[in-house]
Amino acid sequence: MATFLLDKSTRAIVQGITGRVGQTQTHWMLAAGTPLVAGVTPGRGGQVVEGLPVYDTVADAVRKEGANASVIFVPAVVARDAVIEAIDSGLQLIVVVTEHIPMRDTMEFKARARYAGVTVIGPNCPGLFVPGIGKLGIMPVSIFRSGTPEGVGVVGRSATLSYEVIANLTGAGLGQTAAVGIGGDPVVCTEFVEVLKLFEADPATKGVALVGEIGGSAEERAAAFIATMSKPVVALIAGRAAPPGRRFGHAGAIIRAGGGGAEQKIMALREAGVTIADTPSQIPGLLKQRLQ
Amino acid sequence: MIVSEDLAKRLLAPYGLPVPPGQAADTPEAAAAIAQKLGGSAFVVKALIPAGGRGKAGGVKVCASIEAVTEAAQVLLGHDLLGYRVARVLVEKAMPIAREIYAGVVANSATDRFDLVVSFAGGMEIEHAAQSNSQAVWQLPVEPGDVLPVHRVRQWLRQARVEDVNLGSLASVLVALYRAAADLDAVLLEINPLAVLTDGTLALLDCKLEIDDNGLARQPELADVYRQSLSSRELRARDLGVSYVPLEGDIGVITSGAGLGMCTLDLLKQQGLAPANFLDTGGGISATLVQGALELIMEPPQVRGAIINLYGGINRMLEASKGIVAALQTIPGKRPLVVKILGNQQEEAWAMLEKVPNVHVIRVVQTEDAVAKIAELVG
Repeated sequence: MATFLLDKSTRAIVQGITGRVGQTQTHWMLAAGTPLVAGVTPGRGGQVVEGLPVYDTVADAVRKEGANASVIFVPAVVARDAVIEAIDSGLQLIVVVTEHIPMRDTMEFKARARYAGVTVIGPNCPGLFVPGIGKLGIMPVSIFRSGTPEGVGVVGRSATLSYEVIANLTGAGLGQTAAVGIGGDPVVCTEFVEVLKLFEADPATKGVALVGEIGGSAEERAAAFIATMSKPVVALIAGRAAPPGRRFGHAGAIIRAGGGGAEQKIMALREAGVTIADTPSQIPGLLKQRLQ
Repeated sequence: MIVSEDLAKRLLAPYGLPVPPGQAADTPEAAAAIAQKLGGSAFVVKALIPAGGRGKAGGVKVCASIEAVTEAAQVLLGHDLLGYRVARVLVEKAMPIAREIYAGVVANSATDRFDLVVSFAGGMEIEHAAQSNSQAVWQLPVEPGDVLPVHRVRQWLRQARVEDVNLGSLASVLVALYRAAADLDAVLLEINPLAVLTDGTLALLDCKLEIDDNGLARQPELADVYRQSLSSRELRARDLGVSYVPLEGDIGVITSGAGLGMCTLDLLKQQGLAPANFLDTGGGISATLVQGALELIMEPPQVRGAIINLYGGINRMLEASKGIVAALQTIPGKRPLVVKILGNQQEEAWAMLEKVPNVHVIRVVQTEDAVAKIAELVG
């Protein structure tokens, strides 16, 4: 079992727990067994949501509940402050689900997290799920195959396409050690490379399914690391049919002059030894071949 | 969003940036009146279109009289240039140029920094300069949130060893550009050329400004302009809260999620089909949203059929199927609809939809199966 990022020592809070999405997702995170200890909404201290105490500040949750991680559902306009509050309060793992955060704000809290040595996942991401431990974020538990002693790690930029890949793996009898959605924005705080390093180091993870897409150069940077990995990687790159200059749903999914196209990502990944799947349902078969 | 040159210059002026006097016009008469008001006998008339390479394509006319301004506006207005219809021109006072510099502020998503970029090669040849001689392009990375002090930029510029430019003034202009870019949530602010005038002062001759769409929430003036630039279908999509891109094909597409959407387009293409659009519902799927989205994508008459590919998670999928049924009552024609819905209440949603004529339900997780089905149905 993967013991990275989220483990038995995690004591997580939900920032934005009193909002509609925050409250609903807290219910499902608790149902998945996630070690949540509190919620934070400024001005709502003293309330109780889904059985969890609500505090006005992250610092209060740290002092009273020993919190060390957070999942953030606050609106985009206040997301930068929420992430910085979590970093400044000493939390070690922060998952930012919120979408539509201005890129400048993300660049600012990413820099702050780097200096503080804090892991931030997202923004605009479904978070992470570690079977046997729980989830920080919104991934649907029902698609996973848990309880296998070893399995495949999944990392993707897109939430629902990653779900389809995970469901295909489960359908083919391949269990998962962990799944991480890194987010669909042009700037995300944890990139493919950091997650791949964790999978490479995790003894239970035997191979990796990578779900990439057009825009930016994160897949190319991933390729440089994969070339040094001992474990097989199978990748699907979405957006091969997308014309340049238009943004496809994700703020980061745009092909610009001189970069971001699917073919150059596929070429870089192939050169690094990655097997490319043309469709999501090919991934389990290709992984099984590589794992033999 | 890409901000038009006249608006961009109006937004930059309060930062103390040297913007040439000028105004936009939508008729030749208005253009002449602006020139009259500006005074002098040298003007520039520029087509306001969101494309680079405008000067080379004949979109910038230098005029030596008011009559020449009228004539230039007549030539440009209402005509197509680089794929855009010219609806407005910018009339400016012509500036006496001694030399041209390139200056830019770029949000660099590979390094997570803002790059201040300067090239003394300048003018239209910046791309060539960057390729042939990297020394000609100077880049200063700035940490996000950093206060960029003028002295740092001045120090940095000294290494370029340029004699005929006042580096103190240039540093001040660059710092003002950086602050403007930060305040405006710009992902790109490009001044090409930044002119050194014959008296040694600087002027922003052209200006390309691209704003982060996610920043529009705190840029109310730009958000208004952005709304006005959208087509009626794009506006409806925005009001529904979905992400919509019209395409040239004839198969409608609705998906929950951007990656699933792009993957669905890829699979359609692999089957030899051409998507008519991309539409990502985002996270909150309701009956109203699905109804509005389906009505929107079925509107173009060339659409022969559509695929709905939803991964609802905890969203109630019965709501989605109600939205589909409601939309079908208003949509003309008997075009086939392939629906793949997974998530909370999926069985109830399937049962409801399987009773509806021309609707084909896919009960498995594989998008490939849904795409194969629509291919079979539209022949």
